[in-house]
Amino acid sequence: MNFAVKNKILLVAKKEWDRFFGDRRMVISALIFPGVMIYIVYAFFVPLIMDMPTRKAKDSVVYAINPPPVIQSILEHTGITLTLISENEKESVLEGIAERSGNFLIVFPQDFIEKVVVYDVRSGEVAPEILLYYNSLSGSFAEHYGRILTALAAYESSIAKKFDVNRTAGGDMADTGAVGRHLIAIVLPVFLLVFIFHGAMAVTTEAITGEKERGTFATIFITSLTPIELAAGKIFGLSIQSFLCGISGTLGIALSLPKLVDSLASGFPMQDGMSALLNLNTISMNQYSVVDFCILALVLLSTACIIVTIISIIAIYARTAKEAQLLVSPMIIVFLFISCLNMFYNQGNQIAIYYYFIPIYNSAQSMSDIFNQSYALNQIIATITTNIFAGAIGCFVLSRLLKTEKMLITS
Amino acid sequence: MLSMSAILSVLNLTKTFRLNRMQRKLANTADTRITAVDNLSFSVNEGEIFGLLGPNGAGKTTTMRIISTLINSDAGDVFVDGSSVKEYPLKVRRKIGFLSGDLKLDEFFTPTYLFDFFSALREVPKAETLERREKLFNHFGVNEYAHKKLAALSSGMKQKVAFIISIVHDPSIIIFDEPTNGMDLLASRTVTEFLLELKKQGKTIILSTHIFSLAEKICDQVGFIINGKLINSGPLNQIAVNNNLEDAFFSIYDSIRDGRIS
Ligand SMILES: Nc1ncnc2c1ncn2[C@@H]1O[C@H](COP(=O)(O)OP(=O)(O)OP(=O)(O)O)[C@@H](O)[C@H]1O
Ligand SMILES: [Mg+2]
Repeated sequence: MNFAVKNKILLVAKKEWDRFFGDRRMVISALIFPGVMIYIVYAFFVPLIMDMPTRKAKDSVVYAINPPPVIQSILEHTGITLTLISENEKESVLEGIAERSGNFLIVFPQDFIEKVVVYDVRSGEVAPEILLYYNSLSGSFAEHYGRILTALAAYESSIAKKFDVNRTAGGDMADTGAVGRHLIAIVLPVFLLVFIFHGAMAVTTEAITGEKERGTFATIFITSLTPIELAAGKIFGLSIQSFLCGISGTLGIALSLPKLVDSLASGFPMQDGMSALLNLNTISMNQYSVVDFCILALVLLSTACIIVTIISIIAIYARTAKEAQLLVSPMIIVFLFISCLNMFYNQGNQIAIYYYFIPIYNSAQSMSDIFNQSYALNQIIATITTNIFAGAIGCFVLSRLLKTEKMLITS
Repeated sequence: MLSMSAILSVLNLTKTFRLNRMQRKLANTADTRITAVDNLSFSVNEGEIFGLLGPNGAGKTTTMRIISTLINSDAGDVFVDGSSVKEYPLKVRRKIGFLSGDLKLDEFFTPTYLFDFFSALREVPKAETLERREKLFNHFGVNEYAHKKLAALSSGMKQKVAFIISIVHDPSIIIFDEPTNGMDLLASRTVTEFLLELKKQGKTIILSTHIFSLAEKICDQVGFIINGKLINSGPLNQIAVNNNLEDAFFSIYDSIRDGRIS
């Protein structure tokens, strides 16, 4: 490359850098803001959420009936210590598993090793069978489940013999309806939050900063409309719009969910537990009543209200609608983060009421409660009132900001 | 200078703005405050057109905004038909229409929609709204475009719509800040005709401009504003030297610059 050409490239690049780094707002909103935001979330939110009571894998117990010592020691190597029980304790252990205790039960036939050794595949007889009971809805399910299956498979191949797992009985103790609800509760709150946010961002930046850009606030303030009426009207109107954006986006996801799961299931060889988790018939919106949907709608509306209010207040400071979007868009990271925290840590767990006073987090939590059908009315009321109260404060702040002389200056 | 038939009087109006760091840099000054309007007084007679003339940054817009209750003054007051803008801003708002040349209406809407929206905000009764809309649209030739989105209209037509919308509530006093700002020949002609038409209907008009020919054509009274101060004001024919407003303005402007008047 010849020197002059390289110089011109640098010249052009330098102009871009001067434009970018010379614009303090640009640097703050594009460069500093996202990082600071994530740091704040990590520093303050994560410890708070981590404190919540959640079930860990180390708390779950793997019970066994008649385990052969060799399998017991293989499992020991993978970090699983078996707790031996007798045949008559089986019922109560199974009940615990059904209630999502996170425990496992492995039932071996009497003299399992001897039966495996003498078993001949060509004989046409059924192979010796191990029964494995678990609950795919418990938080610690995946970790132990994988280890146990790996250990059994390793033993099977080491002796070059064959036995079956769960041919006649055993398997997932989770209630199949609950499995479907669980999946919905994991997936939909994230989408709802993101679609509401996305809609709110599009409509609010236009409605606030666009109006400021065009200089039309003056025409409005010259009428008898008060700033608080203007702020309330904007927030109310935009909340409904964002709510509808959230609904329509998520409806697409909800309707395609069974299809999506179907194609996933056919694309991957599913293990026993996973296929139960992805049982198509269980993923259905029919399990929810009209009341469930009404409560969900209220939660979503109050969520849209608080999101719109936050975005409006940020958008007031922007000079153009584009700049407003730049300022607001890093917030989506926070929203995703909060809803993912909820997704991984608190599925189906009861948490203290004060978590429902944290805006946005309370929305994600309430939504998954509703989809899990484990919601309590006081938690929902806490969520909605918190959001509406925060929205009202935001509305007041917005009206004060709208009244300042800066609103009249066109760029 | 306050005459008996004054419908609007501006009394010792002063307004300062705080400058932030960026504004100080742009204005090339170390002062943290700028005086936009400096002890300004003038009055406007009922049924007349008053033109406030001055260069960029003279304080025209600031004055117009204080008169229309959009911002508050630091000192002084404005009386609109007897009501103080400080004490009775709502009363004043009902009596005035305000339009700035900077305004861009939301082009997504139709003239009819915007007319009805602003009529409702101005609390004009429904029947009256219909009647006024019909009349104004007819009168200013907007009828044909009444249900077209603003985006599809010519700039002159958009300006007409903006004018009409500023007077939905039939105000007796109309305040126009640089009404011909950035307009082409045809659009500015629309403005002049519009203003003269309003005058014919007995409205009082205050307009700010830096275009001498516009003022010469339509104003009854003019005032020169420089650096926030009213330098000279009176009937057009007295102020204009040899019927030339521009010469009159610059003879004053030059003497200020040369330090003969302050
Ligand atoms: N909100 C504000 N903050 C700071 N300074 C301001 C503000 N509004 C106006 N000014 C300053 O006050 C002075 C008068 O401004 P104003 O807009 O009234 O002038 P103008 O006569 O309307 O000028 P133009 O012909 O450019 O419209 C200018 O120096 C301007 O920079
Ligand atoms: Mg101006």
